[in-house]
Amino acid sequence: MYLACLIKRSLVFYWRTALAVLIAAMVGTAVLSGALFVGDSVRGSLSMIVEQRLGKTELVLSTGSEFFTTELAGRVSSELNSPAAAVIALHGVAVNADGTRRANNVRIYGVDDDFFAMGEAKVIEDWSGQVVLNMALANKLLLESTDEIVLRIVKPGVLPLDTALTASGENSISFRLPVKAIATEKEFGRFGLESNQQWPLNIFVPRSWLEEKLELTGHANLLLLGSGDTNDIKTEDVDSAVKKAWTIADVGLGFKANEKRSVIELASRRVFIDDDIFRKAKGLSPKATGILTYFVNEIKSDTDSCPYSMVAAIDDNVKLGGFPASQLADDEIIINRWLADDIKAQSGDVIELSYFVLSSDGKLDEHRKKFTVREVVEIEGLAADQTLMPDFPGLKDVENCRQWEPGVPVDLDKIRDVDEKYWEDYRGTPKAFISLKTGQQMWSNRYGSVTAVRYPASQFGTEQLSNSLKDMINPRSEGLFFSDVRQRGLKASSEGTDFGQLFAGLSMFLIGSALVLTGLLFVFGVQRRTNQAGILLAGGFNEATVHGLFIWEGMVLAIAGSGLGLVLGLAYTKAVIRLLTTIWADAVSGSELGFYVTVKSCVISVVAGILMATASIWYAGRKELRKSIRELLDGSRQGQFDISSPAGSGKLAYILLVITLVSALLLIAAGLIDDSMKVGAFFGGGALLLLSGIIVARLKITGSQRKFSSIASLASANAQSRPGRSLAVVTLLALGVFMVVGVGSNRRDPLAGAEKRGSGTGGFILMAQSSAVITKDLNLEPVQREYRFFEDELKGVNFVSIRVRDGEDASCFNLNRVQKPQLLSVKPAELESRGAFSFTNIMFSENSGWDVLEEKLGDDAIPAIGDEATVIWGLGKSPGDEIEYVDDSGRSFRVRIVGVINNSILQGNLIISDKNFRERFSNEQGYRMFLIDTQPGQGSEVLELLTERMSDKGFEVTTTAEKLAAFSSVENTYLTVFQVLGGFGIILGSFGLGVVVLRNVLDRRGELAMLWALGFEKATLKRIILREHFGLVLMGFLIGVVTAAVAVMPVLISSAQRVPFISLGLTIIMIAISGLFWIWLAGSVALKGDLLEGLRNE
Amino acid sequence: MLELINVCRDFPVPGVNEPAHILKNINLRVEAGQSVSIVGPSGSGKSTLLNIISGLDEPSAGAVIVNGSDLKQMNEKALAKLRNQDIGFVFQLHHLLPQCSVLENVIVPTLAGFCEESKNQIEQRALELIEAVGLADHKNHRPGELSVGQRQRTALARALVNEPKLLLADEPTGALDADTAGEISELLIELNEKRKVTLVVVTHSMDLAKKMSKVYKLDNGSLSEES
Repeated sequence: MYLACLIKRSLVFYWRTALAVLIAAMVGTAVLSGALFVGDSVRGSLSMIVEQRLGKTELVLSTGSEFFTTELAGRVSSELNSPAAAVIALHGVAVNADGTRRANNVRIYGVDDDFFAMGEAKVIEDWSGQVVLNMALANKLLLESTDEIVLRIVKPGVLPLDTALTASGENSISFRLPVKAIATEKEFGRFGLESNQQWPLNIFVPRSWLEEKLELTGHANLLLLGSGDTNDIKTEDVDSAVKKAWTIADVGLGFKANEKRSVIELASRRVFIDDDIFRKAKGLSPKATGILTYFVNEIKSDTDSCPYSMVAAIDDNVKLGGFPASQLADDEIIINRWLADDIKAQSGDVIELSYFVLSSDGKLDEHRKKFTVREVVEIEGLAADQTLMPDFPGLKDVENCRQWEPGVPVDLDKIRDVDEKYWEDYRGTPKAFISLKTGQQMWSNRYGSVTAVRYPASQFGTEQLSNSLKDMINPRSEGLFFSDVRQRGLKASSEGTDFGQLFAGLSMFLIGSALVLTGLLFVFGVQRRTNQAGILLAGGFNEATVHGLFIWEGMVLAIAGSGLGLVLGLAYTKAVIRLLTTIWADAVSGSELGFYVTVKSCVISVVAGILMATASIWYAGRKELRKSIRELLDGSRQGQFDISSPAGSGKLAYILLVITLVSALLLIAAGLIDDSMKVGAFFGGGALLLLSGIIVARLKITGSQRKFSSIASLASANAQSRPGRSLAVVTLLALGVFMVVGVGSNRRDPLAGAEKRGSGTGGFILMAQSSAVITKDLNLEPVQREYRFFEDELKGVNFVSIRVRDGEDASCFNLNRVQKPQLLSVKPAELESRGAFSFTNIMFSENSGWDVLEEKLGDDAIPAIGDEATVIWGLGKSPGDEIEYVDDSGRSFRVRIVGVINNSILQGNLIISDKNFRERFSNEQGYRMFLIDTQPGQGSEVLELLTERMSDKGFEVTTTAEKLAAFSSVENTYLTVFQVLGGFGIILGSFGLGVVVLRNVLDRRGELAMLWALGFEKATLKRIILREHFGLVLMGFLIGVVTAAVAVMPVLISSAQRVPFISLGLTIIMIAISGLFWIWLAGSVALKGDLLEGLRNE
Repeated sequence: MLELINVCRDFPVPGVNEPAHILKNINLRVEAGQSVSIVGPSGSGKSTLLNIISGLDEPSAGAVIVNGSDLKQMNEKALAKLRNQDIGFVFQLHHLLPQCSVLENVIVPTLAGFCEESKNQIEQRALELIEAVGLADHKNHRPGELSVGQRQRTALARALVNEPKLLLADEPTGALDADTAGEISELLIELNEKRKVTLVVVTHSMDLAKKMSKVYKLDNGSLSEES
C-alpha cells in the first residue's frame, strides 16, 4: 500500500474529523478570498466608473470662467487627428416644476454631437430648448422624461465678478424647460472630470442654445480630447498642437480697427487686459498706447458736481489739449467742455473724483482724489471718442442712464436730464482724462491695469498684430493647456482605498478564529490516533515519514478546504457586496459596486489559505507527534499526566510580564502626552497590555492551586490540567473582547462637544455652499439688504467666507486616491481669532495654528492645512508632503501640508491662505463656501432663512453637526463592519471554545464516570465543567476589557468621544452568552448517555 | 448488609428480538463485615452485577437491598448519596485525576456534597488512609509520578475516605503484575479485617478470590457458591 493510499484510507475512515478540519480551512480561505474579491470589486467598479465618466476622453482643457472659441476644438482635433468636443460647463440649480424639490450645485453642460460621440452614446436630435438630465439628478428631483424643470444657470460674467464694476444684477438666468430624456451611463449621463465614484448631478443642454442664452456665441470653456482609433495621445504632441492651433481670440483678446480714429485697438472680452499681455502688447510697437477707462461716482468742483461719468487714463505719448499726457502731473486732469460747464470749473481749479474699488475682503470702498484742472478741451478728436469706454457690462448697450447697472450702487435720483442728454449725445465718452500712471494707481486690479491698447492703423494690420502678439504669448500661461484626466482617473481608482486590505484587516479576527479552529480540530484528530504514529514508528518507519503522513493528511484537507473556500468566497463576496450596497452603504458612500474577481486574488487567497491552514495544522500537530514512541503507543491519556511546566519558565514569564507591562504603560503615557502618538499608543500599548494579561493568565493557570476543598478547587485543578488548551481559550476570548471594546470605544459621536471651537465643527453652527459665486461680504448690512434680508434678520450671524478652487473630493466619501483635492481659502486670522478647530500637527513650532498658512516657504511652495482624514487617508500624505497644482497662468506650484487638524467639517479639502489663493487663482472669483456663526439656539431659524433667501444662488445650508455626522458615519460603518466580522470571528472562536470543552470533557469521560460512581450527581459534574471553563471565559473577558479600556484611554481623552457603553455592554454580554452556551452545550453532550461506558472504555 | 433477590439483567441485541439474559435470577446475601468474591470468565456479567449492586445500573427484574434500603425505591440523589457515603469503589483502572496529588485524589469523594465533616477532619482521615496504604511519603505526588501499584493504593484510599460500609472492587488486580497484585490483595484483606468493611470483589484471579471468606462463581448468568 502506498503512503498516498494510507492517507486516503485515513481520511475516509476518520471522515468526521477530516470534514471538520476541511470546513474550518474552507471558512478561513472563504473569508480571506472574500476580502480580496471585495477589493477587486471596488477597484473594478471604480475603473469601470472612470470609463463611464470619460468615455473616449483622454485629455481635457478646462478654462473655468474664461472662454475660448469653439473653433479651437476643431483645430486641435485636426492637428492631432483625434476627436475633440467643445463644451460649456457651468454650475447651476435645478428645481422640479412645482418647486418642491431642488438640487444645488448641479453641473450644466452645453454639448453638441461631438460630446455624445466622445461618450460613444447615441446622439440626441431636435432638442433645442430642452434638457437631458442624468439619472442621479432625475432621481433626486423625481423627474421623468416628460416633465419640466426650472433651471437656474450661473451666468459667467464678462467682467471678473470681484472687480468693482461687475454688474450687480442677477448673475444667473432661469429657464423653464421640458425634459427631453434621462441619460444613463450608456448615454454618457455619468460624465464628470472628478475622480469620484458618486454620480454627479448633470444637466445637458444643446451648446448652441446655451451659447445664445449666455451671449457667448462660438465660445466654450471645456475641451475634451479623445484618442483616435489608431493613435495614443502624447502630452508633448498636444502642447505643440495647442501652440499651433490657438488664436488670441481663445484667450478673449482681439484687435479691431477704429477707422474714425485711424487706430487699431486691442481689447479684452473681459474688459481688463492682463498686465503681462499689456507689456507684451506694448512691446509690439513703440507707438502702442495703453488706455484705462473707469466709471467714477462723482466729479465735484467747489460749487457743483456731476454724477456718474467715465474718466480715461491715457498713456504718456497720447496727445490731448495740445500736449502729450506725459506732461500731466499725477494730480492734473483734463476735462471736457461739457463737464467744465456743468461743474463750473476751469483751468487751475481743483476738482475731486470719487470712485469705488473692491477691497480684498469683498467690500466696496469709495475712494476720493483731488486733481487740478490742467486744461479744458472741446469734445472733439480723442476727447470725443466714444470707444474709449470699454464694453462694461450693464453700460455698453443701454439706451439711457436709468438702465445703468454698472456693478456699483447707483443712485438713479442723482441722474439729471443733462446727464441723460450727454449719454444720448456722447454715450460713454470720457468727461475727463488723467495720466495712465495715475489711473493705474487708482483703478488697476488683479485682472489688469488697462482696458485697451491702441496702435496707429497706418503701421499695422489687425492680422499682423494678432499673429505677432500670439507669437509672444505662451498659451499655457493663459490657461490653454490639457491635463491628463483619464490617467489621473485611472491612477486615482487603482490607488484608492484598498478594500481588499481593509476587509482582510476587518476580517482578521474571523480568519484567525478559523485558523485556530483548523489547528484545534486537526490536533484533536491526531490525539485520537497518536498510537497509530507509535505503531508506525515502532514498525521501523522513520520519524519524518510518520510526521509527513499526518501533515500530508492535513495538507490534503487544507488544499481541498482552500479550494472549496474559494468557491464559498465568491458567494461570501456577493453577500458582502450586497451589504455594502444596502445597510453598509455608508462605507462606500453609496457607490454601486459590480462583482469583479481577478486571477491574482484567486491565487493569493488559495495559496495563502493553504499555507495558513497547513501552518496552523503543523503548529498544532507538531507537539503531539514529537512524543516518544512509548508515549505515542500509550495514546492520548498518557499525555494527561504531563502537566508540569518546564523549570524556570515561571521566572521567564515574570520577567516578560514586567517588560511588557512597563513598555505598555510607557506607550500609553506617551499617547496621553502627545496627541500625535495616540494611534500608536492604542495599537502598541494595547497589544503589549494584552500580552501582559495573557502572561498573567498563564501564570495563574500554571501556578499553585488554592486549598483543595471544594468543587471550585476541583474545577480550578481541571483547568490547570490542560494549560495549553486553557490558555488558548483565554487568549481567543481576550483578543476578541479587546477588539470589540477597542473598536467600540473608537466609534465617534459627532455631537459630542460639537459646540466647542476646538471640535470638528470649529464651533460653527452652520455651513453653506453656493452654486453661484458671492463676491461681497455677507456680514455687511448693505450686502444683506441686496440679498433681500430685512434689517436685524441676520443679527448675531457671522459669515466666514471661503473661496473654492474646484478639485477632487478627498473626503472619506471618495473611494479614489485623490490626486488634486479641492482647495479652499481662508483668512487665517478669522479662524485663529475664533480658535476654530484643533490641530494635531503643526510643522513650524513658532506658529500657534492657522497663522502657519502665512509662512513663506519659498521655492514656489505654499503652506496648506488639511484635516486628519483628508491628509492621511484621503491623500495618503503626511505633514511635509507636497502636491503639485497649476495656477490660472499655467504655472506649476506646490502645496505643502504644514498642518493637520482633527477630523472636521472641512474634510475633503486642503486649505490655503486667501492671499496665496488669490495670487494663484485670479480666475476664481468670490466665495462659494461659508462657515456660519449664529446666536445660541438660532441655528435652524437661520438655516431656513438662508435657504429661502439665497435659493437663487443655489445656497445649500446644512448644520455642521449634520455634516460631521455624515463624515463620521463612514468611519462608524467601517467600525460596524469590523464589529460584525469580528463578531462572527468571536462566534467561531466561541464554537472553537465549545470544541475545546467538548474535547476536554470527552477526554475525561472516564474521570467523570468515576466521579459519578463515587457519588457525584450529574448536575454537580456539569457544574464542575461549567465552573472550570467559566473561570477561563471570565479571565479572557477581564483581560480583554481591562487592557482595551486602558489602551483606548488616550483616544478617549483627546477626542472627547462618548463611549457607547450600552451597545458595547450588550455586545460583550452577547459574546459571553455565546461562550457560555457552547460550554453548556459541550458539557451537556459529554454527560449525555450512559456514563458507565466511560468506565468500561477505560 | 447486601441482599440480591432474583436479580435479572437483560440487554437488547441489535437485530434480534430476544434480549441477551446476562444475569438470571441472582440471589445473594452478604453479611456486614463479610468478604465475598465473585469469579467467572470474561463476559459472564461480573462487572454488570457489581454495577447493579452499586446502583450504577438497574436490574431488569428483582431487587437489590443495600444496608436495608431497596435501591429501586431510591431517587437519583439518594442513590448518589448511597454510593458516596455507604459504598466505596475500586476499579481495575484507578481513574485518578492526573491534575491532583495523591492527597487531593483521596479527598475528591468528600467534595460530592454529602460530607458534613470539617475540612481538617477530612484531611486528617485522608492522611491516615494514605499512611495505611503505605503512601505517606507520596502524598503530594501526582499520579503521573507514581507506579501502577501506588496508583491502585491511592484508589483504595480514595474508596475508603468516606468510611463506607461496603467496598466494591472490580478486578482490582487485573492490570497489575503478580507481586503488586499480591500486595493489593493483602491490603484489601487487611482493610476488611481491621476496618470491618464488607468487601465484594469481582475478579477472575482465583488467588485473590480464595482470600475471601466466600467465593461465588458467575457462569452463564447464574451465580453459585464455590465450595
